[in-house]
Amino acid sequence: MSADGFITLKQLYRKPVRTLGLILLGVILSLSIIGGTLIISGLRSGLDSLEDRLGADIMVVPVELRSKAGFNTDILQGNKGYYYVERDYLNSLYNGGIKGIGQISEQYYFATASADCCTAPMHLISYDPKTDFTIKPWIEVSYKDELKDCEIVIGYDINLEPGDVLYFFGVPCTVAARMEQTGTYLDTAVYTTQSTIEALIKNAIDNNLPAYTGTTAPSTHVSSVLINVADGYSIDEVLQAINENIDEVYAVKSKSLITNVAEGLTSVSGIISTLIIVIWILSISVMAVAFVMIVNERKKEFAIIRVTGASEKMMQKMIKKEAFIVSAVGSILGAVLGISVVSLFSESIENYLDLPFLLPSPANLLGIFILAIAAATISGSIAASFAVYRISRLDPALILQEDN
Amino acid sequence: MTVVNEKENRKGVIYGVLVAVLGIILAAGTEFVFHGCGVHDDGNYGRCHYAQHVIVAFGILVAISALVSVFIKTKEALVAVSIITSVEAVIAILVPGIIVPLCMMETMRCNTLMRPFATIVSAIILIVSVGNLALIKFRKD
Repeated sequence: MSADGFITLKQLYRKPVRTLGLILLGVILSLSIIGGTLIISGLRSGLDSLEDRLGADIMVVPVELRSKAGFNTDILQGNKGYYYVERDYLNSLYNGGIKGIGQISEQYYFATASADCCTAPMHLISYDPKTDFTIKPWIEVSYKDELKDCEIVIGYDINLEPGDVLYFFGVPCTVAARMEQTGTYLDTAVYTTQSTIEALIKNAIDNNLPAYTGTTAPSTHVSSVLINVADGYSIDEVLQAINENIDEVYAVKSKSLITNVAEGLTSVSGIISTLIIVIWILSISVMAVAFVMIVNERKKEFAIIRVTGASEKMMQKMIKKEAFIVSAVGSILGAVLGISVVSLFSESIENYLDLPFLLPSPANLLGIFILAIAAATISGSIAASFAVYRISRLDPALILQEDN
Repeated sequence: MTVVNEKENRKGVIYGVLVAVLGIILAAGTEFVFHGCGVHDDGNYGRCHYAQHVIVAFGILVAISALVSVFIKTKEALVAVSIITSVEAVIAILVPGIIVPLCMMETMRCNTLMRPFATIVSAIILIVSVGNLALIKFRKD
């Protein structure tokens, strides 16, 4: 080991509190960079994932939902309040009364508090396998066959494996597949056919469960209708026709629903970015002041090293090395801590922000990890540059004379 | 048996108090703040309820084990305490979800709060214990 390297390590070891303080600043800097970046990229990935999975040009929902606060987010996050519309009102969508409908399929949402796994209600989404064009493409990634009666496909956040059985109102439902993670409400949903939902509701009513007495059924009611517009028609044209002709429903453009989520994401990203910049400036400033103070405190030591033959460059190298070591150690610790905290609390972050959240892939995670360490280490080294400049202005003779 | 000097003894006290505080944080935090899910509709508790009890028990065990090191004066006993708290921390990390299963839904509080909290605090206990072990091991007698 070179002489300057040896002295640097000795200095760091000799003053453990100061070294730990500087390392802690590196940890804070790196933690804020990696934590903030992961949250922002997680929200962006969640939004992309949600956009990918919308799958339909128009969503038609019961008109009561329109007056609800947070209407757009509620629809996207699946908190539909379980409003239903009678099928009879939708005849014009199917019999050509409204022109321009290319693909059409309906869904029925149902919440159960009786699954044997959870205290939270489970969201069951039933679809018609014959007409569906929004859910099937994603289910097919994990399950190629057609769902049979009492078979379910579960979202990623439900910890069950294919072949496991989940009981709803005493009806055993076999898990056919588990979907890939989306970072959206789809991760907590259970997908099944309309006939399975009918069987569950019948069983709940037969067992005299008061909450389910008078519950509607997919054979007579729907929760939403998804529409893809036919070639030659515009989305706005079809949307307007539905809203003008059917009073019981409200048609909304799927893309416009995303706008609200995107606005939420922009404001959260803005706050996080500002916080990162503020913490960055503060940490660099404190580090810079700390290094200048270290140089001032040790100027006699530097003067002695200088008169014993060390060059000015060697002393500058010592300070640079000290800054690099503490920043690198702090950055690595902060990055590990940041990734651990954000990964472990990702579900809590999603719940708290009420926005879709999907952690980056392992390759991207590694990239962010390396970049955060590099950024924090370089920042620490930059903070030391004032101290390096100060060393170059020290006059050893003057310092040693002062002391006498 | 190697009796430690006053300086080393002070370090042992700092380690003991620090890990004991972390153990109390693990136990009290899991019991009162980051607890598992509530009672099911049918009046029964979920699986996470038992995981919560085990974590609290391990938090108390860590605190007691660490406090023992405050009164220890020999190097070998300090090493033994550090190993014990390290093992307890590893088990506390493995309890939620691996040794004792949690609720099936990842969005439930046992998965979103209790497990991350227990993992992070136990990991800190593990790092401090292993660090102390390394310090004792590589210390010049």
